Amino acid sequence: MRTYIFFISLFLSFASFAQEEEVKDSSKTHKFGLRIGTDISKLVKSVVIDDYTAFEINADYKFAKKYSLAGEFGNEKRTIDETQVNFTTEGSYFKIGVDYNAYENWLDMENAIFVGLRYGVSSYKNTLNSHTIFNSDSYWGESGLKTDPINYGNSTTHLVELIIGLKAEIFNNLYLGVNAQLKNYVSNKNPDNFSNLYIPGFGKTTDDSKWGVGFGYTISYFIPFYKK
Amino acid sequence: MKKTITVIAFLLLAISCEKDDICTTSNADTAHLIIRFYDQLDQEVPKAVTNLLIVGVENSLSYGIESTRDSIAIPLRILQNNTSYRLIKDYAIDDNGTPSDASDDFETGNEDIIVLNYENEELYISKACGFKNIFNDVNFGFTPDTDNWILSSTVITNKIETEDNAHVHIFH
Repeated sequence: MRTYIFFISLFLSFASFAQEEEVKDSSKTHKFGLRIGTDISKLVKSVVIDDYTAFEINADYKFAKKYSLAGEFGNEKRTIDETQVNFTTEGSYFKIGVDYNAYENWLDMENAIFVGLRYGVSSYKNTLNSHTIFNSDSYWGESGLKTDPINYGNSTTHLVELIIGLKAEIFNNLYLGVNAQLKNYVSNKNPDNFSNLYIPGFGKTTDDSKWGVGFGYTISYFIPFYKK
Repeated sequence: MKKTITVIAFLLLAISCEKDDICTTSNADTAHLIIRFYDQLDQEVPKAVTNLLIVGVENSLSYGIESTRDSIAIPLRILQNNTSYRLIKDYAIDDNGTPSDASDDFETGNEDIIVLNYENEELYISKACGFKNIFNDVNFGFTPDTDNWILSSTVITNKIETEDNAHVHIFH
């Protein structure tokens, strides 16, 4: 029920953001502590989608009334079959940044509608499982399909991410969350004679854009340290 | 209520749009060998070869006949380090005086054989296009016989990567 109220008040709070700036009571108690969880969408996708395994741990530490230090650490392995290339990308990433909680909680609840910024580093390896040489003239009847795997060296990508989302308490200190991420990579070193077509923590890349989007569904547990 | 939220959350998960990458890059395809024909006497002047039949050596099919244009574009093998073609000038079928009987027909023309040796290299283009083959260290020659119609040749570039310009000039 508290969740229900939370989602309703969510819309109200968006509608009345301007007024929200006015001084609220400062007598309300805040719980400070560490919220630690995992991205359940990655777990579900690992089960449902072949050729995909991923795991992410996320955490945020509330150090001020409206601010939390937040971060994610994860591992992803993904095989993608495109028309011309079939490749596997495997690696780890971490992201660290700050979340701003725009939601005014009732009592001492720790629900959140947050906007955050992250800086992330992803380190991974590409393997080209098979590829086809683009050779449209079939006169010689040669198949351009090459099935010898090619291992490329380590790739590293640095990225920045804007994240918005919500976290709602469903049981005592147990939170369910949804978030959306908009990402852009600031540096990305491609391997020799190939491209980083998938980046753990970023997703698929396209030939003509450095932007990526992502969605996360988190379940997390809040460990209160102290009240104020 | 919790269930509803969970269901909505996973519906959102299913809605994800993705742009298809389509290969539109120019010169993404493996290049043909482009040969341009010039007059042996006046080497600046392009000169078409009359009724030129093009047949790959070790290939049972003919690649075609070119009789008006002064250049040809022919594919090289990407899984071998060499490709040869029979270039038959003034190609014709002689019906042996019996137009209705095809069994005694024979082909006429002046056949020269061109030979190319090269090293294959795979070049990554893009996700949508994948890789193309480029031919490095290209060596071009023609087999001498008693009646060559090809008199001389010049290799313009020993790297065949695009089809923007001729790679070999043949003088006749």
